[in-house]
Amino acid sequence: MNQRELCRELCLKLHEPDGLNAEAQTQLNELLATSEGRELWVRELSFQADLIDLLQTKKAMPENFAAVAQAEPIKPTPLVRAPVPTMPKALRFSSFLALAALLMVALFMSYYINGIPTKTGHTTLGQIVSVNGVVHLNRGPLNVDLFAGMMFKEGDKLITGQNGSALFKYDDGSIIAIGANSDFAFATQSQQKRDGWDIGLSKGVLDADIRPQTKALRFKTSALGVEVLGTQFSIHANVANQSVELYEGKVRVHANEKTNDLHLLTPGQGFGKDLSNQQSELFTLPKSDWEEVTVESTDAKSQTLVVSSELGTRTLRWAKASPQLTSTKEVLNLDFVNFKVGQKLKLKLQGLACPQILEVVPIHSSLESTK
Amino acid sequence: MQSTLEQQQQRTSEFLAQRHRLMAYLIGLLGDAHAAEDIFQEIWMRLAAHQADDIQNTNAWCRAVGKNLVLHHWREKGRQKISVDSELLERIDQAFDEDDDRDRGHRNRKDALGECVKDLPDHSQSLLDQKYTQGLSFAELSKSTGKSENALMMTLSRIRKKLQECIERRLQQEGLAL
Repeated sequence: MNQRELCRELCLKLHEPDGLNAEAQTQLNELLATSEGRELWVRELSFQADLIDLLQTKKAMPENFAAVAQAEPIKPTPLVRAPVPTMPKALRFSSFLALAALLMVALFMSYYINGIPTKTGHTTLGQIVSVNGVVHLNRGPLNVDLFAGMMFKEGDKLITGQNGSALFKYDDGSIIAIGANSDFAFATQSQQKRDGWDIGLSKGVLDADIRPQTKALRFKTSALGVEVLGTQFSIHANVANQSVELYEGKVRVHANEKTNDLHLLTPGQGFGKDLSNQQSELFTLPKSDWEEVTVESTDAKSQTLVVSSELGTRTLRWAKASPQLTSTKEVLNLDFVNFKVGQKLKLKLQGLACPQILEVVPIHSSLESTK
Repeated sequence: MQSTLEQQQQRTSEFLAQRHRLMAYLIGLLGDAHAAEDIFQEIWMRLAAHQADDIQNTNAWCRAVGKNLVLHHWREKGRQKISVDSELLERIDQAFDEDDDRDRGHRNRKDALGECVKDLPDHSQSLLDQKYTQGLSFAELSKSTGKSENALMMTLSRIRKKLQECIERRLQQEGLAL
């Protein structure tokens, strides 16, 4: 057996539950005693890491994208979709905050670097699927750039900047997308209900697609509480007004905790509260209409498209993301579907932070030429 | 002068650009891609909290932190897998230290690997999937396929060899470095 074959065999054994036995360890030790052996070993491990990464990426690719480009074009209809609500001004990471953050890091660094417990002890709740623009994760004293594939834990918080957004998936399959200028808490044990969870949105916008829950789950903004069981909805929270839009299932909105002001929403309904005068109202959501966009980029793992239209550049996600979607390691893979950068599409969308694509058809060049 | 935000973003990009090397190191120690992913993220949390000026060689720093986390992981699991042979660990470190100086053309190799995997017959792709995505052991594969563990190991070894040869052939055809 030559060295390369030995590397291959040892790599295979490495993945077994018992790992390398004493004999294999001796073989590896001897292999690594030579420069050539070390180079081969690193090459074999790199090959193995790439192979695992590639297979996991491939498995998470959606199948439903491929059929899209074969769809027949439809007659264009006027764009009547309401504009996305204007978000507050950009979140600025000022030099003062940066200094404060560095001081915080300096204070707590020794504990986190030298103190051995590697885990905070908090439950891992799920995984970040995609990240666009500036997004920070706060975990205890740490404030780090967020990237796709990271796990998030109980107590973690997420802050998005002016053009920032993030899509993440909880272990139960629930998906939440956070839009720009948002301040979000993944989940903490409920203060009000034992065995319940609170998810916080102190400002910004989110879309949620929540799987059926066995425990109480409440989304909280500064003025509203939204109890969910298994449903799709959006929440928009800013200083002046806050609202909830429901697409599927049921939610119960607490407009005022003290007066027990409760509203049960059904699909197609929304509830808004004007914080300047504390007035609230139930409203009916407008039906989705066709919207014309141009594809800017695609991401197979997160099942998202970045598109531009007269409403600006936005990230969209495929409706009903694959339950197999577990991690995002390969960021951009433009070949994964028949969507091409620059291609024009007509879409029906739903949601505010990272709208879901409900229906899509390509606009063929012949159709464009007739316009 | 770069702003703090730009420095953070540059650091994130550099860290992610070296992901494949660090993951190879961690998988090499752990033999478990999921545990390696957890530790990879823990390294990032620590790197992001650390002052950049203190770190001379980021790759080596990440591996050193990674090794400590792996040792801690082993202690937590109460195991065993590789009883920690310090000489072996040193040699593995040495192998990766030396490799830092080489330009592997990783992107080209990975692209070629993607094409080569597509060319494999379905049953070979299925075996790779069961082994590396589902994480089945040879004993479990043996039960589901009715083949012996040795035969399965031989088959997988041949598939890996075939893929490696395919990568080299493709890179040579395109005039790219191996």
